[in-house]
Amino acid sequence: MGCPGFDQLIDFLDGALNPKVARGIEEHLAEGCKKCVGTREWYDRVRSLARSDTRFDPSPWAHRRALALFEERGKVKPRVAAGLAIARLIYDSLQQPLLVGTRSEAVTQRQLVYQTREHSVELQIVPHSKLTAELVGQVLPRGESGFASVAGILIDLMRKEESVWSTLTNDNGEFIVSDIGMGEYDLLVETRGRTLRVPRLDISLSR
Amino acid sequence: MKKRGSVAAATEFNQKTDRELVNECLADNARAWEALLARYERLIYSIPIRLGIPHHEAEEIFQTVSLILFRKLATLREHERIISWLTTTTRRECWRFGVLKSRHRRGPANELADPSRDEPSAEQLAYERRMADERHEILWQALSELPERCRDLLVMLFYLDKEMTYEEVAEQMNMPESSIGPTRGRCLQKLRKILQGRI
Repeated sequence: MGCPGFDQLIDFLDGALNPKVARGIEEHLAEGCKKCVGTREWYDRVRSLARSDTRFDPSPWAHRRALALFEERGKVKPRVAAGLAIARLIYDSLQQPLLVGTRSEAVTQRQLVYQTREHSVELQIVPHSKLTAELVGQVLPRGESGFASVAGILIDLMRKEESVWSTLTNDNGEFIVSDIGMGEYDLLVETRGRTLRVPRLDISLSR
Repeated sequence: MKKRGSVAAATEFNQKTDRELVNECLADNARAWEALLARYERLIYSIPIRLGIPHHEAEEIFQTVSLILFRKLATLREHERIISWLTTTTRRECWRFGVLKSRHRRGPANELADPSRDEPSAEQLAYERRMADERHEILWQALSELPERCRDLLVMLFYLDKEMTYEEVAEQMNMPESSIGPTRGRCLQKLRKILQGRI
């Protein structure tokens, strides 16, 4: 056979061709076609060089820390085993009377506070556009000083039982979720020992 | 590529699907977690690096995403789309990291949590030195001269440990699967021209 096209030769080198075509190219290379052998050698060099580059390797230290998660956290328990606490809404700034002279359309953000027996969740909804908003929140332990129990916990914003955004709280129990479409969500907060659910969280700014 | 002590796990678990690895993790098999990390750590780490985030900050993001992945093992549903999920989550963490940094001047609590302060080790320095390898640098420079789309595609194909299928690459690049082969061909030709036999 004559020289394969460049794409076909690369497919061959990646092992992506069917055996019959691959055999033909193999024979062609065995005949010593300078151009194709040169391309093969070049491609092999680039590929192996890239593979041996540590540019995208996290450092050995970071790798070990990530590995250690398994030992530090013990067994991975399914969420259902942890128990569920439903948070209730105790404050919604949209439900408050407007100040005299304020137009109802002038709402620029919304505050919500939810509570369970053990935690409160303070939420702020800030619009990005007519269709999207940013959700800034903080999980606070009730009857406990400090934030140790709410640092680094998993936050899941769910829509129709599908996770649309997962993140962790920072050292102060704060989290941020951005560019989410207006609508109704459930917010799951993986507190130590149990899952806190904020049901039917209405991401909107209209009364 | 050398995988820092994860060779055994990588060999044993190489053929397993993501779903199988996740199930093994849930069955308390630490080596499955090791294999899952080995499969995806380059993908995760490459995202902040490609966004120009410095290494010590990229490592914080890597830690956070690893932790989110670990915490979500039990509730991951679409195991076959774990690449997409990881990419989205990592990009968001990069964004969040930038936002939080600009909103709050990092206070003492966060400074203590900064991993770069924990262990500025010889290992870290050796790592930096390895990165300076000349031939790697020549290739990287040449890649940097390519249009962004080409660079992203070739990085995905060459640099990430996980062998990505055309379908996965197409999803990541938001382009039709049928375009991957020809686009890759054009990008490689450009790369070869830029390199001009230098490697």
